[in-house]
Amino acid sequence: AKEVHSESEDSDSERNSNMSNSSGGEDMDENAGSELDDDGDGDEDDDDYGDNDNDDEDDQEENEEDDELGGLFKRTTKKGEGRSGGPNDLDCAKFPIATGDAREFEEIYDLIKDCFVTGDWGTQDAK
Amino acid sequence: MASSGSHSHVLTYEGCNFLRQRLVLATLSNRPVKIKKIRHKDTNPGVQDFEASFIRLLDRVTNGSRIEVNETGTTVYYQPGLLHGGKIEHDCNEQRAIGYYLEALICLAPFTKEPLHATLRGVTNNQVDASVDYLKATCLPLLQQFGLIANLDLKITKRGAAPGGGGEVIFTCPNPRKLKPVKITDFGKIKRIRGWAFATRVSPQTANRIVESARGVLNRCLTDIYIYTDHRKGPLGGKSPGFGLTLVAETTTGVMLGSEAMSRPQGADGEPTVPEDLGKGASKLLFEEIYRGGCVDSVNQSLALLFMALGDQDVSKAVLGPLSPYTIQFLRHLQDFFKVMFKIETLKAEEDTELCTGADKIQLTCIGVGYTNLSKKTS
Repeated sequence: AKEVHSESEDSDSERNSNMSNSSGGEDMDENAGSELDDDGDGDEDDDDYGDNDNDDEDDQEENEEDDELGGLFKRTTKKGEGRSGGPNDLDCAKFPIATGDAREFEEIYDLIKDCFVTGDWGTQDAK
Repeated sequence: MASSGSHSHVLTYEGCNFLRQRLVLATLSNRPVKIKKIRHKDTNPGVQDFEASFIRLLDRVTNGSRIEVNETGTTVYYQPGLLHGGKIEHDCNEQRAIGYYLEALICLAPFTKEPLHATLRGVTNNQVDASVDYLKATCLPLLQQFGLIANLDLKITKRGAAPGGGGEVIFTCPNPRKLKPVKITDFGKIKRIRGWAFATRVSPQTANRIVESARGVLNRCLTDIYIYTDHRKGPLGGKSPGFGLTLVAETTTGVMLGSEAMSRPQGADGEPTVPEDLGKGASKLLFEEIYRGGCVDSVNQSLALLFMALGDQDVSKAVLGPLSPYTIQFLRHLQDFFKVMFKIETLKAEEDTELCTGADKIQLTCIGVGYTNLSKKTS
């Protein structure tokens, strides 16, 4: 039931708020969470590798999840499971390939052919 | 924060992603860490069995760690103890492969009080994590560059495919006083490709079929290709049927870039995996990995950066391909825990040569913090 609450915050349509089994308490949850966060993060503000603000991400997620199924039901599970980097995504060191199956062997090989000893060595002397 | 007291130096994070790197860096920097909101909106909230298993493994390697998990499992507080190491045995949870645990263990191994000798049991190969074959082929050569040479070994004594597991590996690692600074900047040219095709509890012919299909594709770019087959029977083959292929491209300067593919686990939805498709799939992934390039493969990027940051107080350099999301987060964490920042430069390909060597590379430079293993006497 928790997930339904969080989404109903953003939704304007009356039908949706009727369908979700009445919200309440969730707002408190969210606020309490972010307050704690501000306290804890004090020494991390000098982050120069990019802003790692989780609150923004949460908001975005909720907007994305706003879609309805059949005009009646709302999606409560997360969409886009393949996306990595979210706070509760799969902890995996592998780097997923974005292009997927789109590229053919020949296509990739043409781009990397000089990585092999058989390719062009450019200005380097052959060893 | 009642349970942890009001330590101002407690780092707080959210979510189950990157749990391993947070706990590993906490252990190395000896800083307590608190992780909140672990799957707090999930139908199955809190830490899962495999994460609990990972936390138990950390407890085994360290001495005097304090770990608190709240009732729902959504918050974990970890106060690291001393990194002890020595001889440990651990049954890894089957939800994740041994690689999940091993990746973190490798980060800790060089800094333990006693040299690490770890026996890990569980799933050696699955579709999600880096397999033990992959780590053996790509990670160990990388560790050698940091001066970890004697007694460095990863032995696969039993193989166990997902979901049943039943595999066993033995990982040993030396613990030098200091890690050597590195300059991993010369990619060289790929001179050979090696592979390991394994099959457990399926027809021995399966491995040969994988080899044939992979060779068919790879032979176009190189002739020096050899793929070993490893067919295990009986208890050495674990509890579940499965097959897979690990490929590694080795360059003239000793850089290892790898890829792998694994059959769909028994009982999973979907069509059964065809060995020929798997062989082609792994070859294609190897091409993609070469396209990304760099002198460290994408799985081991964060490990290389960690050892550069903790190395002797000297400049370390590495040329990498595009950074994986895991590595990007790792850089942020390195800054949080050790206040280490890397200088990052994009290396554009020289225009006059116009060599086809894949994606743009980046060069990362840092000065090590001079992390010394205090249990080692000065020699």
